[in-house]
Amino acid sequence: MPKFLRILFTGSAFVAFFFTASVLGRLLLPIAVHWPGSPERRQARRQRLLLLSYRSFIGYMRALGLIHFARPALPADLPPGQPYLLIANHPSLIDVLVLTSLLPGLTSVAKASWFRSWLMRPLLEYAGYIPGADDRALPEASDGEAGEDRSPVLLRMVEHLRAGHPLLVFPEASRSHERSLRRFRRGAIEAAIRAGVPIVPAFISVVPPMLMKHQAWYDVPARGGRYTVEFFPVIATAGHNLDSRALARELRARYEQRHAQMLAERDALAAAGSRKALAG
Amino acid sequence: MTRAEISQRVVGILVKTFELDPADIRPESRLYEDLDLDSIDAVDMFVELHEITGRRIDPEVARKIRTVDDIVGLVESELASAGAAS
Repeated sequence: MPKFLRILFTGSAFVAFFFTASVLGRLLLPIAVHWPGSPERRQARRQRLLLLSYRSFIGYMRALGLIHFARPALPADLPPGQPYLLIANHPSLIDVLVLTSLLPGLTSVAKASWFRSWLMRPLLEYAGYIPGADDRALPEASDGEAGEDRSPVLLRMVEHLRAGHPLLVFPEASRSHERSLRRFRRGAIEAAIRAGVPIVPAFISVVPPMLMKHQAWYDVPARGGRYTVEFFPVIATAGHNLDSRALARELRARYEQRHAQMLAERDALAAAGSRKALAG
Repeated sequence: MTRAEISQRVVGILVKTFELDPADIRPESRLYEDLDLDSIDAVDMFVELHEITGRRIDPEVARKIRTVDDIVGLVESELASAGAAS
């Protein structure tokens, strides 16, 4: 595919995203939620609509050849209908959509600035996303002793999980660096421990890289990124006396290992590409 | 401990605990805005500071901490009052 076409398609995906987000938030989700029916049926309608939207968006990107993605097998030990915390590395802009397209009912913590956005706010609220820490407001310090955390985001995550909803959080808190993972925040892991829900660690691999943090959206790779999602063993928290700091460190080490492997794959592909360019 | 030594230890804690680049840490750096710490990080930081001061930090005082220099000042006054108490 010529590069200009790839850029055009990528741009169309952005337009499709924001258009769909506003139609969902201002029209379809309000209808799904307020249409008569029992609370369970309203909830089921809302989830079906969201899942369909996530899958359509990923399907759109796949159809245009912007990404390649085959649905992975989900962890067998994930009890159906039970809440869990899904954590993942964050290589690209569309990771939330990749993961929410796999798992029904999954929502995430969204940036506070997105919650202030006129365009995104209705969707995020109707879909049940959690507002992240507001970087404009001063962080609320603890009321108890200095070693006790009462951060509202942490409490909101615990509440969300205790209410029975699955939650996706990127412990890096932002997209990864170009060639390394960011440090892992332990907030979500602490929330899962407090709520006693299992932690499901997923690794997202994107080769060649695309839509990275430092990258402009029109800086498209020569071929569509191949997305794969794989799951590390599920970590049970209920009844285990776990320390979120130690667990975050352990998980980070596991992710680093897998991340190094992904970098090697990216480098091998780039080297093959430049050899081909030289030969041609 | 002199103020310079305290400052060095505080920077050491920040670098080790939060994987920060020492070059980014200046006395006037704001913890939340510039160094991108969150409130649960602040909890971890106070646990680490406890190792230096050996004293429990008053939450009222902890709440006012904004910059790296504030931490150094806090540790300094905690050490001074610990010295006066013993």
